[in-house]
Amino acid sequence: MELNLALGFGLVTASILALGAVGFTLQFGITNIFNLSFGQVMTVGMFAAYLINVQGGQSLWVGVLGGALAGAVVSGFLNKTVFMPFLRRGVSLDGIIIVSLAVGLVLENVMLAFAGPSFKAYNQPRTHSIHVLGMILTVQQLLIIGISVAALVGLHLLLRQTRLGKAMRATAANAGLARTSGIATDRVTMIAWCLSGALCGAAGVTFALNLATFDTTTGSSLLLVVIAAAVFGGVGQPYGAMLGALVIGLATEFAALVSPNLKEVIAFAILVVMLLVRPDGLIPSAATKETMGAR
Amino acid sequence: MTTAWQFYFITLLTYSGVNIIAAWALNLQYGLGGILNFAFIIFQAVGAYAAAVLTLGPAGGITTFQTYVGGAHLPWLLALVVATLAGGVLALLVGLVALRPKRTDYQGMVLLTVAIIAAVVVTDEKGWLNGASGLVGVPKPFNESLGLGLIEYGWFYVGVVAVAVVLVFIVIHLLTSSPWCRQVRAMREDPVAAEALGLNVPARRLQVFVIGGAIAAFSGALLVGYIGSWSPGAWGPGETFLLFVCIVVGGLGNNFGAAVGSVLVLTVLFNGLAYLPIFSYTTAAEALQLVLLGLIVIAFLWFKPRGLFPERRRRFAFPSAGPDRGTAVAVEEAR
Repeated sequence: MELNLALGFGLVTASILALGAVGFTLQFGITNIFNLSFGQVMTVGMFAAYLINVQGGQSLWVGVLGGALAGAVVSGFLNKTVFMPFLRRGVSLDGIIIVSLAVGLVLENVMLAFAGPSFKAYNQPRTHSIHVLGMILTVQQLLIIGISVAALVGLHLLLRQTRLGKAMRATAANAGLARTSGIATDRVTMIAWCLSGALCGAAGVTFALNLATFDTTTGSSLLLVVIAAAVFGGVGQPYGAMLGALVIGLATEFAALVSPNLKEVIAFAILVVMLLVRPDGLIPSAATKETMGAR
Repeated sequence: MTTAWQFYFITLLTYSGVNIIAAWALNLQYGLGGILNFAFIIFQAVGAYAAAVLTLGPAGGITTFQTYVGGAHLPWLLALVVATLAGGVLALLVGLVALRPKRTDYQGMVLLTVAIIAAVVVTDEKGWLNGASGLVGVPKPFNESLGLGLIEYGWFYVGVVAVAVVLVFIVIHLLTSSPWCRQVRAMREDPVAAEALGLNVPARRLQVFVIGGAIAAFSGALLVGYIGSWSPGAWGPGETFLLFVCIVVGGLGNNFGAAVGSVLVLTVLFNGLAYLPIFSYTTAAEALQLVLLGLIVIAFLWFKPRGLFPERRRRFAFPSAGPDRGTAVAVEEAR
């Protein structure tokens, strides 16, 4: 019984993590940047949805869309004004990590200055819970799973069925070669940042929704769990990130049965072990091989 | 000067000294060694905890309100030495694991994760170091034997910190002007090339990490001697970033720059902003302070990536003319 409950919560957590981890990895796969401001962009999404839902009186689901849009805009803006210029100048990836930390600090504290330190909550319609196979989930949680699945299927179709997706995979596999083959890699990179930001914003809103309350630090507290999921399946690989999200989501919820404090620690332990033992992830070169053997 | 002002300056000077030492340690690790040590603050923390429990005495007795392990009544100087060693040992253990990935940014991610796990564990395990409340009532070094008043003692401690800063400077200076450090810099510039030249890169990296960790712990032990308490609130992973700001502003790889950077950022900037009039609510001022800090880092990395005091460019040349032409003497010449 308890196990079934944990399975249900695990699936919800996995859905949220999948949005974030796929977003994180999409950007990393193309630029190789460990973007540590990703957590704060999630918080931007949370606040955008809050403005739409609570201040604007719109439905929460419009809020999720708004959060995704805000994430995409902020992420694209950061690429245009900060990350791309630093990369062009040839700053090392280590240097750019420090830049991304600084960007996160700025974002988080701008929000703190405007919104204050208090906890916020969305206006959620009261709904009954639904029992499925011993799992008890609210309608919102089912919708979170639905949003995540829809977004990821959409992304899958984009990557596999469109020219843009092909260009993105080519850029991720070998940017130099892609550029020589006539792919506008700068534009592809920009689109990747925006898509990454949209998924990031959606992850933020759904996470805050599931938590019930959030503040300006909620996104950054989730960052390393998202990175753990992204690294698990091989950072830079969207499908690996989905697998990682599922594993980490379930692992954290089952660990919570033993002790709630273990929740984060288990995700971090997985992150550390993966970085040490298999820094290329569980399925190292599958995606690369596939992309290289272009159709 | 009124007592309050004197106390203010004592606090400012003590913190500045501690920050300078910490900035040197991080500069050795990142500025010279290229190690993204996002866990830096846990090494300062271990020094502070070690110095605290080793001078507090065994848990229980008069300190029943806090629980911790390893209590002892060591003389302060001995506790300081043990605390420094504790930092080195922790750095060795963490470094053996965290420095294994080839990519330095992966190392940074492992270290960041280690810092967060450490904070979670120490906060949750109340029995080890009294959890979130932390340790209080750490005895002030030499206070009983000196029998000075609060202010006099404060100035005395400023003197202790000044001596410590000089001692650490001598150590750091000897290290950074040694052939060993030349290898460290080569490793930072190009680990693959350094390895090809026969340098043992992992060993050098671990050595830099351990020495930096020990110095960080030393700074923590000094700090806890002054403030008398230490809790997880004092060493959140964000604190490490402040020290990164210091060395980026001062000049990566330059000891003088690191010292100036830490004074400018942590002493002048942080305290200067405290004098701004408070508007809206108190956290807004603090928030804007951190926004400014973030913008400063980005601006420096863009406009002045080598900092206020760029690392000296070192050149090695054979003397081109003169009687001792032909003797292979490498001359270091500052440019």
